[in-house]
Amino acid sequence: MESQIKNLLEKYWAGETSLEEEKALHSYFEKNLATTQDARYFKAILEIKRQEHPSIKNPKKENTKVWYKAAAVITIGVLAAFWSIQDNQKSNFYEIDDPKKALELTQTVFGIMSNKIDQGRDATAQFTKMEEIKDKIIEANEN
Amino acid sequence: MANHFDTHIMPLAQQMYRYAYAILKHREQAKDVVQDCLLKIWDKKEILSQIDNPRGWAMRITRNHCLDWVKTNRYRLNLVDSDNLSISYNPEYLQFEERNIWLAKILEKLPRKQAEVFHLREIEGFSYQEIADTLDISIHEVKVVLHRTRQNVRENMIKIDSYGIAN
Repeated sequence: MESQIKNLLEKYWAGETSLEEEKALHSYFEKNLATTQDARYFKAILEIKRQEHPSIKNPKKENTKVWYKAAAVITIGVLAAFWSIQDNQKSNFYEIDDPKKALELTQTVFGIMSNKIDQGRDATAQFTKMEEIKDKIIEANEN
Repeated sequence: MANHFDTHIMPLAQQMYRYAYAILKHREQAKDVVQDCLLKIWDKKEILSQIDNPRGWAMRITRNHCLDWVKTNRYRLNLVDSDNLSISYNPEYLQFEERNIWLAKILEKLPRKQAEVFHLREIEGFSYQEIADTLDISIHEVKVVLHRTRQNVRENMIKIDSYGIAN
């Protein structure tokens, strides 16, 4: 084994090793406890190899997150306009960063809005429900 | 199409990051460049199945983005042009054990082409063809540069062991 590694090292420094032979050298020195110059060289390379950034994200998922956020912002804008009309107050604007929460609330609000359009609902009951949604958004924003 | 992206490109993200970091020497900037590259590649996902060498292609996109960023920010970096940019593994940022910093310091002093070829072969395990594709040079040039680089690194290693300094 030792003579095999010695031969590979000679080839390596002469620039004549294949990729597989180089992988064999890296693998050997990863486990080997020697402190020779060659061993220190390969161990230092291994240390560089281990550097990585933990938070690089798949842009496909990032794009979806952007959509949820946009939907939430539009929904909240609609709610804010509704509340303004009901309360005669200046509309407030809330933004939710968590895409799952944003989607859940968007679906809830659109469910209620479509029910309202379906008619047959008491306006007071509708207003009460909207107030409950408003409280949920405030709570989500604070968390 | 989405599968091709997941199976051929996303596994390269950390390689792209290490390469970007070696050029830019800044963790967050390298991460931002890689995110931009992944978004750009995602927008081109329809052609992924036609790319013969997706790894070399993705790394070339990474390299070009890094060099573009350097060109845009060269006044901030006090560079005349990107050719003066060295490639390195800034040991202040990397979690190097003290005994291994010597290699980072040697690599920092290499001419950029030597350092890039070294990085792609020794750190990322690229074939000669992949390195040639990434750097847009011939396979023959890759072999010549790699051999010269290993000699350069070895001479500096010997100097450090003999005199305790690099160059």
